[in-house]
Amino acid sequence: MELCTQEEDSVQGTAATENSRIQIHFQQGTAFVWRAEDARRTREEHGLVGNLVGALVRKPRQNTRLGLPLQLLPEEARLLLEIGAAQLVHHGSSADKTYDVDEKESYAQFLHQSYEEQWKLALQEKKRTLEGLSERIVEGRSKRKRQRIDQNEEPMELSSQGPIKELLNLEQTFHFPKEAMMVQIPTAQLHTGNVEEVDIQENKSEWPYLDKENHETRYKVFSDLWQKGYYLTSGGKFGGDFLVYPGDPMRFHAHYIAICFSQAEDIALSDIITAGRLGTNVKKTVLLCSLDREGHVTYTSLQWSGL
Amino acid sequence: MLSPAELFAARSREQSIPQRSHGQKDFLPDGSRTQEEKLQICRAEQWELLTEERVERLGSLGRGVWKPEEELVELTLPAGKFWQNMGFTEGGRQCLLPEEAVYLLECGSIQLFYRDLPMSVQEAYQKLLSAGRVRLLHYQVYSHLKRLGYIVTRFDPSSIQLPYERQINLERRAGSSRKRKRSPTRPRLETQNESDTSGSNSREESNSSKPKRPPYPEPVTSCAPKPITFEHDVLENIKVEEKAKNTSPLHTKETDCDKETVKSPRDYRWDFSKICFPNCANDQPCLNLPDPEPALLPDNVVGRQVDISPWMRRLNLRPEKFSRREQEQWDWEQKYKVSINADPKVKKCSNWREYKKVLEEREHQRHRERPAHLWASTVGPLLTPGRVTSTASVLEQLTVIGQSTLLEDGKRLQDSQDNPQIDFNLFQADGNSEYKKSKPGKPCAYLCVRSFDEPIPTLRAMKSLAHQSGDVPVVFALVDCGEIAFYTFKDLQLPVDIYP
Repeated sequence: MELCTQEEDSVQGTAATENSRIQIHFQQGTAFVWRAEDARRTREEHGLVGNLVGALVRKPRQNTRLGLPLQLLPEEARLLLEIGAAQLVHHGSSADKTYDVDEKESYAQFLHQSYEEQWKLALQEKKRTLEGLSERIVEGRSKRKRQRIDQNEEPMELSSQGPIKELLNLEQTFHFPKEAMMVQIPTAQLHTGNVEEVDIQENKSEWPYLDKENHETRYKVFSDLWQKGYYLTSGGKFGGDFLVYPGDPMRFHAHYIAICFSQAEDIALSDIITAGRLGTNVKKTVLLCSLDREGHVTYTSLQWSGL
Repeated sequence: MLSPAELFAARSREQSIPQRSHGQKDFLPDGSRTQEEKLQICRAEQWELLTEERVERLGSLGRGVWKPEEELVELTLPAGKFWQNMGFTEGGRQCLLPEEAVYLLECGSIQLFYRDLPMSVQEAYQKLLSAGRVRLLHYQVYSHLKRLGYIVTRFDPSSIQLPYERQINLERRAGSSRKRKRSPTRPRLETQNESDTSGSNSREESNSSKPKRPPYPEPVTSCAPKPITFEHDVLENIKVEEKAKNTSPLHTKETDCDKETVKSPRDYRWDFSKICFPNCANDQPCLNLPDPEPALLPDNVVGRQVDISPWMRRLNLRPEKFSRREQEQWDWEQKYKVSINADPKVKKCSNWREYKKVLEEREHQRHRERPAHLWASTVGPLLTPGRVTSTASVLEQLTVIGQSTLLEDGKRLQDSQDNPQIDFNLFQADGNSEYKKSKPGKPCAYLCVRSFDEPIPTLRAMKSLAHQSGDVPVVFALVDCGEIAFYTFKDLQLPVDIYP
């Protein structure tokens, strides 16, 4: 038990020191948030939505509601990093080499203690239920006894006062098999010791977006709309770059479909018509977004109108 | 890590997920209290679900050990129900592929260990999905489909049927007890020819000069000489060389030294004009099969004369009855199609070489008949006389750009390296699916996993994939930042409104 609390303390301790920054874990060019608390803060403190991609703990075999990890758009991750709200961490392969025997032992110990503890808890629960039911048990037994006496017509003393016999030596007879013990499959990594912080400017291999031609425009547009208080999600399913919501997407529908273009780019008329028609059909306004020479974002909206 | 008390308490925690029914979404945030409250409820629900940790009864958990050098997870406890459609056995061990292990871990069905320590889901993502064929992108598609209830297996290029195997409807794995679909009905023309010849067989010569298919190309192995002995039975007058008498032609085919005889069939060709074939059609009331020449029979076989009339009575000799469609087809063929065998010149040919010679001559003849000013220059008429048999064929010859289907040219385009590859087989897992791990059968789709940033596959790539997949549809799974959309390309044949 002691060890367990110690471990808890240490986990909480590291959490407290790192509380100021959300941890974004990087894997094959994908940004994940693994801790529920970080996911909450991403949304509530910073107004960034992300996308849950894991199986929901409570009901893992369905797709309507998903669980951790929270996958961030590259723009969301970069924004969090640039405003200093998050740190990008990477699990180096070096972590594999330091193999801790102590860790293994402490895990075995923890399992053992957890079992002992759960045994006690199960015992208490059993005791409580038995106590709660003892009156009825006693009642039922005496009834049966009386019936037997009636049949045999043998006078017998009714000695069923006080606690029932099961309750007396419960601790000796109580059986709590090891299989009945509950174990946890942790979602986020528990040992945060072997993470290394990554600077995206220096590690282009970790952050493949910097070189992508559209990324800069997308990022500028994203952060500009975000600063204006909008919520944004990925707009792929509507043929755009982002979907723009006036409030949290949980409670509001998207108003705009943002499509990013570089300013020098020629846009085919057919593309504009396609975008406009699509936007009208889903009752959203299409925003054509690009950067001017000073780096400010300019928006052009398309409206479907009769002559 | 959860404390024992928390773990114990998790036994009786909520099992159902809250239904998101907090009214319609609003149009604009107006700063009102009701809106704020609704949002808070939604968010609270969300965080409640997300903070929940996986807690399972130890007894109901499988147990696997991650072996990075082999890229598999070895199960150290006997597998559970998931073994029905996941995992494989290797060297007596029950194993899981990395994606299967991560999925089962996410579902709370197994515990994963690495260096004797339990892995978190995060560690499993980082370790199991960073090497090998199935990466993060693929896993997202895999787990999405698994959660939907499909059976998903890795695609193995060797499992695919060759186009020829598909054509002859060959089931790959032998020993199947499953009901097999009846092979597609044979081409009608062939059966008609059979009935044709049997009908006109009464005239002896009709069969005589026809290049009868020699019996030896049949690659039947041991007890094959049956049809040949039958012919020996009936023939009375044969000009066969000694060699051909003793060794059945079949064996000559098999042994290389006798190849020569195959090449020049003329040497021991039978004179069919003198051979009487028994006709068992119902227009022949009775027929006696004469006593076979004893010299042609093996030593231990006694030949005798047979009256086949009692057999005839037992045969089902009902005339073939056509359905309306078959009748139409037959009528049409009678009208437009001419049997090559009716041609007297062709009849005179006794082997393929002669027949081909006749064809060549005719081709020459045709060219000679054509006026030179039309046909000799590089620009000529679009239609070739003689090849015009129907309106459809005229139009077909006139088309400059023909229609192409996805399945065409696939073989030629296959060697390209940058083609998208099929990643997964998809099987339905409902009641009528016949999926078995040992005999998966035909998948309901093949899956190609692509990232949203990748370009649309080219027609070339599509054709190559279609060639590989045959009649199983290829589905593209596009992953856009964790969201998955499925697309298929379908062949469209423009209708041709001409009959026939």
